[in-house]
Amino acid sequence: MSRVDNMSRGRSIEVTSYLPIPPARSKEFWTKWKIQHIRQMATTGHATFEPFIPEAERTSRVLDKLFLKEVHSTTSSKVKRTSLPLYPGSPVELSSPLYLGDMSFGALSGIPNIAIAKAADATGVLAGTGEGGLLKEVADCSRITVQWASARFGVTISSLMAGQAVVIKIGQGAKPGIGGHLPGVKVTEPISETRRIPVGKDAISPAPHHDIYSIEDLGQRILGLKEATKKPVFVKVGATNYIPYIASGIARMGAAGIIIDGAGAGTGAAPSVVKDNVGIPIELATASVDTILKKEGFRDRFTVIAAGRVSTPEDSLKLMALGADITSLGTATLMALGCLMVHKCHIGYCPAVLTNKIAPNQVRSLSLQQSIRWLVNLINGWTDEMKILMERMDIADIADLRGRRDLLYHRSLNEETASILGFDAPSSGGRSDIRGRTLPIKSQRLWSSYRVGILRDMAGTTGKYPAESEISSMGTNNPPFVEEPVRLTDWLVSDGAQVTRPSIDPYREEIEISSYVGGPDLRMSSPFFFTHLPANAPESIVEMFAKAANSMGLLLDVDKAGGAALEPYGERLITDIESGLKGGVRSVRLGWYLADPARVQQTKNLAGGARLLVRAPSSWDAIVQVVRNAPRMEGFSGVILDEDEPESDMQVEAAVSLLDRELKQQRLRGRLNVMAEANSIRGSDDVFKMVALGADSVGFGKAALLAIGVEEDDREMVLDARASQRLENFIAATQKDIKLLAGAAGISNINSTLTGNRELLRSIDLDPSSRIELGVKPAGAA
Amino acid sequence: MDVGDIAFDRRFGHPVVKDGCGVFGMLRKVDAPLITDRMAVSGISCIKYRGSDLGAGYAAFRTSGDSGAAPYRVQAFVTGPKAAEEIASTLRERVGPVESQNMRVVDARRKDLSVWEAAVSAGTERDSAMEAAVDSINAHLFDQTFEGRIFSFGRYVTVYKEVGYPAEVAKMWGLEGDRGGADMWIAHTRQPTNSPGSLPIWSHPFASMNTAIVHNGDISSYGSNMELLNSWGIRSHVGTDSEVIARLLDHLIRVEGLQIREAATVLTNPFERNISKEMRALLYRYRGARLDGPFAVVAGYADGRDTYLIALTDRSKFRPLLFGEDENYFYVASEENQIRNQSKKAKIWTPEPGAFFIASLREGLVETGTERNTGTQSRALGDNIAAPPLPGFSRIDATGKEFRELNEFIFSACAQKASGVVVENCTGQRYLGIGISTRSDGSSGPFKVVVSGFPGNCLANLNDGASFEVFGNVADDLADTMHAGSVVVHGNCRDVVGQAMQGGTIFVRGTVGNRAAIQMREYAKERPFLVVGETADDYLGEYMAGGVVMVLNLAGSQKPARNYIGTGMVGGRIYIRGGLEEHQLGLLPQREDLLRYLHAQTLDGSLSKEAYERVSRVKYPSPQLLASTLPEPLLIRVLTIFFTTKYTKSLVVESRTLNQEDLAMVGDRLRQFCESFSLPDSTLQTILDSKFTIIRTKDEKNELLVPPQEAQVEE
Repeated sequence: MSRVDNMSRGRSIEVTSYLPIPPARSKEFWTKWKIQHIRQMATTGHATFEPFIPEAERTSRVLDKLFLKEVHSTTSSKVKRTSLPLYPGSPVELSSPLYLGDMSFGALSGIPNIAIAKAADATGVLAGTGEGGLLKEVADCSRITVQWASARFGVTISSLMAGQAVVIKIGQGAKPGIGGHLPGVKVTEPISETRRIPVGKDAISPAPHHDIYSIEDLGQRILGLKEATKKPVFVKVGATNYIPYIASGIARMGAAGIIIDGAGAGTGAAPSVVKDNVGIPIELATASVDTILKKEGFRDRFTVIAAGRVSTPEDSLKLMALGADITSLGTATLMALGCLMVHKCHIGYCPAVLTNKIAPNQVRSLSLQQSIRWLVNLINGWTDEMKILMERMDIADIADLRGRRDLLYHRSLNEETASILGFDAPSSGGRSDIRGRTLPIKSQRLWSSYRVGILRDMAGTTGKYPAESEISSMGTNNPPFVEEPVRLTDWLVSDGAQVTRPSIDPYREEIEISSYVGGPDLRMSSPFFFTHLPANAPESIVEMFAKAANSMGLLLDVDKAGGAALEPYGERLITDIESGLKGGVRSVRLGWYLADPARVQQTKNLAGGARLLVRAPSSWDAIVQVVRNAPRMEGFSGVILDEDEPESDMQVEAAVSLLDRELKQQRLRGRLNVMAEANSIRGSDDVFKMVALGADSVGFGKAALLAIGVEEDDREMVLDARASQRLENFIAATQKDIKLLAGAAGISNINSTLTGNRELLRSIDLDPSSRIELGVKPAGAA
Repeated sequence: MDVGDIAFDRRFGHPVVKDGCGVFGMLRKVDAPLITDRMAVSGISCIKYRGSDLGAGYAAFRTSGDSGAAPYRVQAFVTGPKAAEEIASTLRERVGPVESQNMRVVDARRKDLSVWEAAVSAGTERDSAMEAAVDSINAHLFDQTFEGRIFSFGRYVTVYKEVGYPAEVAKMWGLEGDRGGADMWIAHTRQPTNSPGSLPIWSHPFASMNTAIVHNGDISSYGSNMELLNSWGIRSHVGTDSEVIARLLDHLIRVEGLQIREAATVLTNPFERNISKEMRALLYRYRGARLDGPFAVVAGYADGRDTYLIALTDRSKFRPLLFGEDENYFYVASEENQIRNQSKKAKIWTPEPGAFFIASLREGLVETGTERNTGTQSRALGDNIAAPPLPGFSRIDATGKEFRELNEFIFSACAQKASGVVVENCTGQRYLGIGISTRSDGSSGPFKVVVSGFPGNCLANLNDGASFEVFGNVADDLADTMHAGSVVVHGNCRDVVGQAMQGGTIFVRGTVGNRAAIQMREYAKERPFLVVGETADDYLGEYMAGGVVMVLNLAGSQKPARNYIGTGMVGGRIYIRGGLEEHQLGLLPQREDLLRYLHAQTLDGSLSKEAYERVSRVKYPSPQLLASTLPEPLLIRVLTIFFTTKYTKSLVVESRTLNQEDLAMVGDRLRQFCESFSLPDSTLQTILDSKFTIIRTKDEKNELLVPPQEAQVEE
């Protein structure tokens, strides 16, 4: 009997019932309906009376816009078969096409791990075990897979032999390209024992496997594990830009199958900026993987397990119709065990005692017997409900469902998304055009409480870790998946390096994020700067920003609004040429310049050695004018696109991408910097995406004010004594966020690699005209 | 599949092709004989397991000393005479007379695809016209459907590529035997993730006028590199990052006029902290040409005046790359057997991360790719060592055998409780002894595996008790997840030695590459040891959570270990004989950012000008120097913003001779090390008398094997 089991049977109170579901604090993918739906199956072991997701429960997720085709006259006498082999030719038969997510001992607190493995044994499905080693009770189960992950936690030759297959974990949907970190205080004796690591020392999982930097390296490890264990090998990856290729490569390398984990999947702890901005949804990944596997002739000898937000049996069937053999239940199993989706796993105090810290003398612990019951019921109920749906679709055998897009129809998807999913008919619906979009600064939804909370934690205004990136647990609710998009950047996701190249650990390895204005002499520490603050910001705040810009190697755009107090920081100021303020960078308004280009020569003299920028509104007209005049703009270092200029008529990310490409066409981009700024830019993720869209650097203002706890409505804007430290903290944390996103994508230098690298971005169900204007590819496309 | 069926999906813009592979390059010295076809083919086909049947190729460089006056040699894949005629007429119209046209089927399996070749006579002043013509032809012939593509158009380079394994491709092109011959060859075997229709246009080498390259890697800067090429007017791409590299290198040297060394610097994209101001200007100017992500590039450049073999590796050296030199030739390869098969006597060495290699026909070795390992005795340690006679050990000759056969031999001897086996003439076979266990089941006693030659990747992985001894060099991933037993290497080791090693001992007489002892850890009563006779490259002891690493630097290199030592370390100890500079430890903030911050604090008097002078004078202001110089509130700010994260531990560094406590831990291992390599007593004494740099985390306890503690209260 293991230590964990002992712990649970000590003096602690056994949890055997569900807690009431608290109201969600903001829009949540795992709604009360979804949780209750799962609880009902887990309690009864049967299908619910509501097998179809109700209209009100559907989010902006692509999968929620797909529907199963019901048949009116069914030949219901047919036997409903849900069993299938683990992989083509496998002697192991799954009673139902379900895989219970790869959740480790450590992420979960022991009892859930044992219950998941035992429930898989009892029902004849398969359970992944995550990278936490095997508890004895888990190792004694037969329907498990064993994970070979980047840290090799708990791996011995005999542990590898314990399951039906070995899973090489390259990445996970919640944080593709990001490693793991379990603080030393959580590495208690039971954790140490199963992971084979020293007690009390941080347990780090490197971001990549340091023996797998390419497809042939992965092939080498697949073959090596097959040689050592004679077991089939699966490879688990996060769904990112190149997922079709990666799946094809994994099939070519001799794996039995792939576990694809989509964006929004659960996690015990991940940097919010990565969770919210990296990876593509499982439905797009599954469909494009199925397409390429068929094209390359691998489909019938390779298994696809789809994971990430499989929330109902309907989701399972739709993913199978898009091309999955098996779907994976991760968060859903936790729901069945009483998870309340409070996003607190990383804190260590899970109200449902699923993810709490593993230590003796727990006050409450989960009942193992009840947990197994719940999970067995869930699997049976899920299977039952799948059968009911199959009946409504007149499908007798689950195997007849795979890759059958003709059994689905869709509503309000744009035609590109539909074509990636494999639908022929163009959609009647669609989204609004880029020109119809209002400027985001007008939208109250820009500053959700979730976002402002993160900004404040980064600054140390709230929270325990100033100057650090925010960490949170479970799946994201960010746009475009759950929340409605506000900015164009909300439709875009960034790449996570999986298999073909290694991701980079930003905390322990070098990632360069410096940026330059007008050549190598004016170096910024970061690809961001401060835009001019809202007009009501008092001079004391402007001075504080100037000081921080100077000490942290950024710039502050003061436009015309500076005073004598800013003088010491002049080198780091962007000032309007008409203002008479000194600045290392001077700007002239596009209109002013166009009115009399001859004036520029005089002002250039006035500017002295300062770099000169043209300040243009974020508008079509301005871009056209800039491009037309650019060849004559000798002596200028670049263009600053300012969304806060009154003439702006488009979101600045679109303007950036258009201008970057136009200047490249004219071969002028090497000489002219493109900078973008707006108070509506919300922080590190917007900055990163806008640099990828073509900006050298991006300016924000209001985000920093909110971070340090200054409300714009607060006319006084009273400065807290610690405000300037908070501002520095916020800058440092924003730098870390950017390094996290870069590292996840396998980028070690922002200036050379990210600027204008639209290939790193993908759009999610964005209308085609906006997508083309941004110059990015849609997710799931090759 | 018919060529006509191949439709490249361009609905959403330019599709991307991703592949991995093996590379090879060989250049003759000025008085040496030409390199025959057979040598080129054997240099790549011996590692066909790195590639697949989906593509291989060769590029031969033949120069005649005509200083750039030879006609262009144009090669294209075409689907028929119509495409060939289009190419010929466009070239005639835009470049010059088209002569010696020839069209033939190279791949007999695909009769609807031919190779068209011709010579176009024009002087170097037509280079840009030629380039533009090729680009517009290619754009036109490979738009919605594939009709053809020019794949080489240089004066001195000929490309032979197709779909197939290297030997098959060589046969298709008639590259056989000792005829032919060239000054330089590069070669490739391809391992694509996906293969859109398997056309030979995706096979390497990729050529661009004077340049041809083969590449192993995946360029994360691909998007920005493409944009730069587009802005240079190059619009037609097949969608691989490899082709992009060929274009960039050729353009930087030939059009932008950079020295080869400068162009190599731009592409390898050195870290900002390591470069001069002038270099920064160059890198800024060509920022769109810099490469990021993993790569090992082998390139040839010939302009008629000289012929260069160039090899580049990324800043972290994520892909394998080796260099070799013997009396007649220079070699570049992915694995040692590629060189050894040609030359038993070649000196072999590896590049440092972010370095490049340049050799030329006329100048010889220009850049070695390393500051340290060439020219020292350590470089040749693993060359041609014979295993001693071992009576009672059964022997197997590895020549021509697959790893499975060798493993069956090893495992059956182990099962029969033999005392050991000898694997002779090992030539890169992987996985030897993987998962061997000699103690956990109690059924077997001590067991030894002796290897002579050069075993491939993943030797002794998951080793649980066996002893390995290698008379030769060892490739990557030695002793991954080793729990017990020992490995003794008489030569050098490549990258990632002892990853996640949890027990047992590794002794390496020579050098180790990057990330040695990464994630080494202690567990229960097991403490792993890695002792290295010479030097280590970057990231030594990364993420280390226990155990002991010693780097003895016996040959007295100026740099016993390179950069980022102990980064992410949470436990264990690293002993490096000799001194280190502060900036080599861990991951430190950019000096420039740090000094800017400190300088700003002098404006309001938070820091005195004198104190600022003190910290700005030194090469790198260490946390220790800052601690002794900055006033406390400022120090806390600096540490918060620049140094500490909740993810890393601060390192404690001492410089001293080994004390009693150290000796209690490592003394026996040092003696065993010296015995293993028959080093004299004086060597041991020298080691014991020497100063070591000793690195550990702040909270590392002196008595290492502590009993598990009561769990602490949540932070």
